[in-house]
Amino acid sequence: MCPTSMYSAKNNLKKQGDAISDMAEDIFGCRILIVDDEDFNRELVAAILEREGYTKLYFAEDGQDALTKAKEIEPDLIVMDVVMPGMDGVAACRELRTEEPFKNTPIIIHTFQTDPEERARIYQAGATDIFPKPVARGEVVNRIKMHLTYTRMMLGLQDYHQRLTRDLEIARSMQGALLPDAEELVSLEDSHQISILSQYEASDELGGDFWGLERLDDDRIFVYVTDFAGHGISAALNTFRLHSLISNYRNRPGFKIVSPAYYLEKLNKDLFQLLPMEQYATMLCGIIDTRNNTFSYSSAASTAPLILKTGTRQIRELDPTGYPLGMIQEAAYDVRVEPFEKGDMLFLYSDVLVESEDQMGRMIGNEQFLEMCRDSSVNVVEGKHFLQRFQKLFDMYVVRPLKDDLTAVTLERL
Amino acid sequence: MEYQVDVKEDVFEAKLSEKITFSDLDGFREMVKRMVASHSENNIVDLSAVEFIDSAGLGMLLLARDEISKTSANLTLRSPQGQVKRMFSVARFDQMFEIDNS
Repeated sequence: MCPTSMYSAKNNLKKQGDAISDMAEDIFGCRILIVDDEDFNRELVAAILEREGYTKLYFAEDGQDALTKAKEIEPDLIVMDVVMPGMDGVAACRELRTEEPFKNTPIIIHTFQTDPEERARIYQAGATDIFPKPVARGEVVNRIKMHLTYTRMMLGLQDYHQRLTRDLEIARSMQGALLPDAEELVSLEDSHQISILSQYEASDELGGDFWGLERLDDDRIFVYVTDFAGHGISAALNTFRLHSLISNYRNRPGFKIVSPAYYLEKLNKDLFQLLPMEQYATMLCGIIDTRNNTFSYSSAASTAPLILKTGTRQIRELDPTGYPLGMIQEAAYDVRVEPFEKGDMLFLYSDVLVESEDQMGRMIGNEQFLEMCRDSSVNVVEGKHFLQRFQKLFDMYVVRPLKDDLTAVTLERL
Repeated sequence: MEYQVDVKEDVFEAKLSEKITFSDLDGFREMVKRMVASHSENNIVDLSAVEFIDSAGLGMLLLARDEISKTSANLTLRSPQGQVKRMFSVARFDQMFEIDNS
């Protein structure tokens, strides 16, 4: 298969293994355009290539003709003389490079010139290689083969990369769909007098974060944030596993969130069955109770949840200790209860907020993170401005792209 | 992550340094392979010079534990410091690993 036909087949959903085996296929069906003003030279190159087994040879008689023919046939490779009437080979080469389909087409310039300056001029015009005249059969054959093979491999990689990028984009948007929808949030805000704001930013790779919430009754909301260890496709697949477990619980008649600890124990058991040894999730889940003014929570090694008094620098760092999910078969979790009064704001976040680095490679670290939170909280009248301010401070500090997903959720009692 | 290996009698000791993160997976696997291949009864991963570990890094330690347990040898994690120590305490690693804080 030729590079060009491979390129046009880029929408075929082929496995990578197929693409590699294609590269071993013969290259003799590739379209080669031979440009020379002298019949003898054209025929000589053609004879060599024909004898080698190339079947699709095309001809042009000068630079201008080369441009016309190239557009017509979109060759996989061009062999071109320099000195020709009208537009010469170097000018034609420069012209071809300005057109999209010929950006990477191998263009081989055929010349008597051995002067280094002239050779440099030819390369600057965009030539891929220079063949000396008179024609040396072995050199022509081997170098054309090399350029065709190389180009085909590059196109194969480009094709694979494009497909992967597109698939990852789709997967990222699917991950976005795991998050609560706006309608759900508005209805909870109204019914429970809680202002809920969040920010989610997917990293370049697929990641393993998501968060969610659920109405338990008129006074109580269940909320969680979770993060799978690692990055990439395995972590992303695991987020879908975990999300489907959570949805199953939610939709199962008779399933009750008796307590956050019970919830984590159940998830841990189920995930332990599903996950390989080194994969696990961290999670924080808790119940905001507006009647009793409490936040009771359990943690599976999550980041430390914070309770802030908005408008002040007061901050309480809660205890995140607990077995990560999926590591040991039977894990028990503690329930911790914190006062959560009107005006208090709960801040849940993923570890990227603490572990991101600045341009010098210094990590934010826990102390600086807490200071950024205090600075973001101190002068805000309404908690809803907290995340905006935090984001500004964070942006001033970190270098993008982030290495992991960013999730930040605030829940403020109004 | 960088590491140095010291094998004496029946003790395989790997001293890790710098950071243990997602990108060290290959290097870490290689270290575990050498550990298993040494057939030492006692295996020590010295963490005293490790500045930072992320969640993938913790997963790698679990992987090491799993591989070593198949050979019924011992694995000890030595002297986690700073952020590593904090991560261990948050994830209850003291309950899952033998940790030598000397």
